[in-house]
Amino acid sequence: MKLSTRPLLLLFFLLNGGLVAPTFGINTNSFYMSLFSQKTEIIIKDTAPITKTKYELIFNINDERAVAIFHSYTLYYSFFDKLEDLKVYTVNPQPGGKSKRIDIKDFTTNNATSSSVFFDDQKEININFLGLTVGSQAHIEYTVTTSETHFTDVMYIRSYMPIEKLQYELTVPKNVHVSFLEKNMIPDLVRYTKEEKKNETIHYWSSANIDEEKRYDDAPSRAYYSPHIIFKIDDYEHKGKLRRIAKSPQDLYDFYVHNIREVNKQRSPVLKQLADSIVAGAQSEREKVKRIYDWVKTNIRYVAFEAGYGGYVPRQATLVCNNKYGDCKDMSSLQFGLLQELGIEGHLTWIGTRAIPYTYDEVPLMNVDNHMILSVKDGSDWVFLDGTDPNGVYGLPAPHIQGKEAMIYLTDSTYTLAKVPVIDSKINLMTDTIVIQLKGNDLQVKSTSRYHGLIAGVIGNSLMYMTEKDKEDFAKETARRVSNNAILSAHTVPSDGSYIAAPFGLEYSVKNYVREIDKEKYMNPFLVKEFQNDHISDTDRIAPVSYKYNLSSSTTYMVAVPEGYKITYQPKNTIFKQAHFGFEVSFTQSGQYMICHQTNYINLPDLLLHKEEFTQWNLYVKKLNELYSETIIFESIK
Amino acid sequence: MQISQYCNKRTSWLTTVSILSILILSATAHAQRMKFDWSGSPALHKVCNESFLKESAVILSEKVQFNIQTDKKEGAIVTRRLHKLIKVIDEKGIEIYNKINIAYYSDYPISEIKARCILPSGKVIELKPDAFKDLKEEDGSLKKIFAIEGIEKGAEIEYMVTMKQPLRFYGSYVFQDFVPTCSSEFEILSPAHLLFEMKGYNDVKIETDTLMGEVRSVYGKAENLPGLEEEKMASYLPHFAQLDYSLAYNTGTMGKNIRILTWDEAAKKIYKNYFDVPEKDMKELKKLLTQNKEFMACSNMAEKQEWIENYVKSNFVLQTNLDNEDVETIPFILKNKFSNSNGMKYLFVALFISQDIPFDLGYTTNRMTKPFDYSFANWDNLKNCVLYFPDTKRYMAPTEFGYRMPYIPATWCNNASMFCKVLSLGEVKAAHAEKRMIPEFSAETNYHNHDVEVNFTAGMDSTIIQLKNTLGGLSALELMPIFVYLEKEKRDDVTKDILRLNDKEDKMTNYKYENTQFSAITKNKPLTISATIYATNNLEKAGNKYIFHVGELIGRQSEMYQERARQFDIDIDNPHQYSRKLRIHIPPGYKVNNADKLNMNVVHNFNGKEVCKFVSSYQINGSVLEVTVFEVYHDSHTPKSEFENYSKVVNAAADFNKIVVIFEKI
Repeated sequence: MKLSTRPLLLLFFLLNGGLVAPTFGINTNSFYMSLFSQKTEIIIKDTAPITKTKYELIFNINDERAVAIFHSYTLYYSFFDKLEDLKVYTVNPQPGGKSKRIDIKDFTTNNATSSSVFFDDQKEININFLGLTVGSQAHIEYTVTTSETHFTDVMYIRSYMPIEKLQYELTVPKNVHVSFLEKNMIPDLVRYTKEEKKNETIHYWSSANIDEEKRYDDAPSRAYYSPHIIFKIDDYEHKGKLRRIAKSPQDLYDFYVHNIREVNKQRSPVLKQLADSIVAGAQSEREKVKRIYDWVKTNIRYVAFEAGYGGYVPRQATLVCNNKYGDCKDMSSLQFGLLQELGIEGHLTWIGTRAIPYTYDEVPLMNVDNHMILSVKDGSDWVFLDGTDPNGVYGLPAPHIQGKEAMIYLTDSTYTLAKVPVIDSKINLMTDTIVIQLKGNDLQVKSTSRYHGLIAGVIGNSLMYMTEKDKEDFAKETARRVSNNAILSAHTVPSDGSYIAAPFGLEYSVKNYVREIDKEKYMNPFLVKEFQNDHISDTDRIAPVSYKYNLSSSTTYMVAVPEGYKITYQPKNTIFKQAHFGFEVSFTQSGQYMICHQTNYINLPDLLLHKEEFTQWNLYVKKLNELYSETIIFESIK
Repeated sequence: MQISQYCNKRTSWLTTVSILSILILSATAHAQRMKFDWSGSPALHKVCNESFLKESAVILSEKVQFNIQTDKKEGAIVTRRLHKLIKVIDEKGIEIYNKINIAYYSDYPISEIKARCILPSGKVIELKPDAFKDLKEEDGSLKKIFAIEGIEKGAEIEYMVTMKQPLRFYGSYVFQDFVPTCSSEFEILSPAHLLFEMKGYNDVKIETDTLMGEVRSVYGKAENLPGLEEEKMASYLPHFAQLDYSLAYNTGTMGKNIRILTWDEAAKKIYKNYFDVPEKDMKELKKLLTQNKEFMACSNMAEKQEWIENYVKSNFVLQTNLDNEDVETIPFILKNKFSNSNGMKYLFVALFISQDIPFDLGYTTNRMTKPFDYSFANWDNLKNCVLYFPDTKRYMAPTEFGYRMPYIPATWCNNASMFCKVLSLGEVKAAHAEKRMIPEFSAETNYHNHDVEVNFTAGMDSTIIQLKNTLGGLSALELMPIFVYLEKEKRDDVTKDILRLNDKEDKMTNYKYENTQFSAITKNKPLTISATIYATNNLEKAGNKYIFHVGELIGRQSEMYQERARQFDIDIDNPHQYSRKLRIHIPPGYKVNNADKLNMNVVHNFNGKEVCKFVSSYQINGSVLEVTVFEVYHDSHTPKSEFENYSKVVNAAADFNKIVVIFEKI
């Protein structure tokens, strides 16, 4: 029976809009935005600036396909935003060149839901356009007033659909000082002009006929590659005094520090007792920190409730301890509280996950981070403790904060910025020993894999939610990746808390794997074909390929030479090495075994494979595939 | 994944039926079979079945009660009570159950909610009122959400909820889950004059109507239920312990022996709701069609039916989420070109009536979710609307815009249905219900054929494969949205995934498509997809010989090599077949070895009839190796007892997939 991949794929493409334009001009045949306009005005209200932004969007629906696919749009806004004057209407063509306007009044406002946040007070408005036909224009107009100027609406130039006309406008009073950060800008894509008026300056950015942006599953978040502009209010004068908002990271820190002022000020005997019991017998301070970290990430489950500014304030350690659940801030607070009871200094730390590319210097706004961890000094080094990674490895950062800048609390007025390291591939090592016996033309395989570094934690995070039955299925699935007729006979899957270097064992057989012709047996030894399908097909893409961690693998195949046979052909030893990836394979005969040893590695300084390396990368995959099609030939001695 | 049985949105006009003649005052219910007890000092419970402890969690007990009461001021109201007790055993169990959400209706707030965690140490942590938050979902539904505090492995989670809900006279209730359940109970309490009936499926015990004082109770219970896992080639939800219920008698108005909410009554309602088209609207519709040249060119009944279906499905937009009766009138629909499901049914019915095209209207279910049971009238099962045209003997699905006559969704076929049969007695027309089986489409109709031509480059470093796929019936229909809705580049991407022969990346170009409109389906023109593959991965060099992966030319195959003990019967969406012709041009100077492996014959017969088979054979014709492969599955349903032999046929295709031939220098 044919393997069906259709339903999932179809859903994927339909959900993603599924519409593509040719490479020149923009495609106005089907579905595009004829206008995207965002006009922001900075206003001093009472003593502080607020922003008022008017949005205007026009979507054009130009064929039946677009009518069928496009009928809804969602607006998101935060608790500190006020959304007003929402107007939604469609303009439909009528016979004789006339048009008719249909106003839409039914909107539903609801809580935005995401898989990571259980309760979120971010709101969304779902708009259903009514009566769209070929030739319709769908209009959305609304105004958002934001009292929180530590957060700005990023001005992206591209969208997932073609844009005919794009305009951004920012009106700044003379007593307010702003600055701009341009990211991933392409020359001549955007026209910038400035108009000086008596009391204000107006900045204009405009562009026309912009292609839609292609999306890739393996790309990092679009902030890494998509052209955009971020404005921030540095400071403003009020009654002769200069007040700072986002001129430097210090300003953001001064704003943030209010959120943690009241955290864990009261000591708790219950917490003290718990902390003592967790570290009982621990000799060193490092051991104590490690035990507290392990306890928190194992016993506190991740559940996030986000409501108002409370969403930025860590809960008290005692509460988190009772609830046995919390979000990143809560887990940091509990670690802080427990360490505090032991007289060990922990430092609450703001950080952005890898979804956000900015440094604090570039963007001293709330746009820069989305996460909290605890940092502890170990000698002269910072150790970053992320309670949300249940199988995190002490001494290594959680994979999703590698390479990111951490804003570490020192005192109420001082902080330090530290860079979280990107872990080298040598540390994130997978080793496989695969012993292969030929039984007739079937294979009997016994493999043992061990995981080190970040990979151990990642594997642990998926194994920890598996029942014994799930683990058996996982083992079967792993064997089936070698060949879909692999039959598993035994498996050892590591259990809770012992994932680092723990043996993951599989025993399975594969029927009719070896090809026998006359007196020869042909056998492909490469049961694990790492990176086999990682060829990058669109080498013109701007978006880099993102990896969660660097890794290296070391695989040893021990193929027993069948009795009565000798080896007449073995593939050549090969080395392929580039700056950030490579492999090496060698074949040696030792006693009754043919030993094939393969090492692969991918070691990217920023975990991104950039466009400049695509060609070399494809060569790497090609060389690997050449290797994977090689066979060993055994010939009957008789 | 308990199926939500209390938050179904209004799905058809049928559910708006009101039986407000039930407004006879009733006393408050005291008598009931179920006790709702929130013990002040709860203790841990024993798990009813030792083997359940291997699972991630066990539902120790679940009780749901609907209490229907009537009073003068509020009319009839339903109080729903829920009490659930779950033991979490491992980390996965905690992850599933530490966050709870309870759906409720906006007009009916939750009046009481309690939740707590009983730790293995015996310590009890009860949630404070501010721990319960309100959440509004995208579809407008409301939820009370909360996270259980203090949870650890071995703990029990307990919660109890009381809320009002709208009055519903029929529905379903599911007792089973994907984790084991020790005990699950469901009860409906009603005033003495309202008698409910229940029918249980999969070992649900029903205790029929009992009058206790002024209150009636009907009750269902299921115990010691394993958690159900999904299986390949099987339905899932129909295997859950569940019941259907319906109000059956209203002695207040109708006397004791008159069953109400019968299929006949449903048929009458449907007739009234859909067939009664205002004269003015009828005039408009007639005008619309008679002014259309294309329609007027239709020469027979079949063409008219097809034209109307294609016209509506191509020119109007179905917005299923519009819960608004205003969009369901003919003037609105004609003006705005969109409507909801009810509006579309109404439009079709009116158009066919306007042209005197005879048809019957019926309802069925998706058999993979819940087979239609005609023996118990539960109006909730009137889910999917079908039209039947007696003179062309064809079905049509008025609310499935991705289907065209004669095809309707495969899972509605081979399923019972209720049809509304209209009888004319002179000027008077009357409707009654009729049970019908909807037949399914044969394997010959739903075909997917491959024509494959293979050449090798002179240097023997790659293979050039000309691939042509020809699809008919439901096999074509399921791919049709790709060609209708996607633009070229995306369409090619999806096609590449459909056509690819193995898991390795190969260059594929020169895509060609034919008959990619829905209307081609009705005209019985096959959908064809062609492409050229430049493959480097299916040829291995071994010394001076080449190993060619000929088996991969039939595309990737599913397999059932290592399955757990089969739980369920085999159910697939529809019968279907594959016929493949492979022509491999043997490279000059080489001969083929190993080709005898290409002869395969795996057939499974049951009760003297062929159920499924996989046959393949080859011949060498000059310098061409010709292989024919035929695979067929004749039935959408096959009993579990046949699983082993059935899977041999499935695996035969996967075995064929691995066959190689050797090219050896002559």
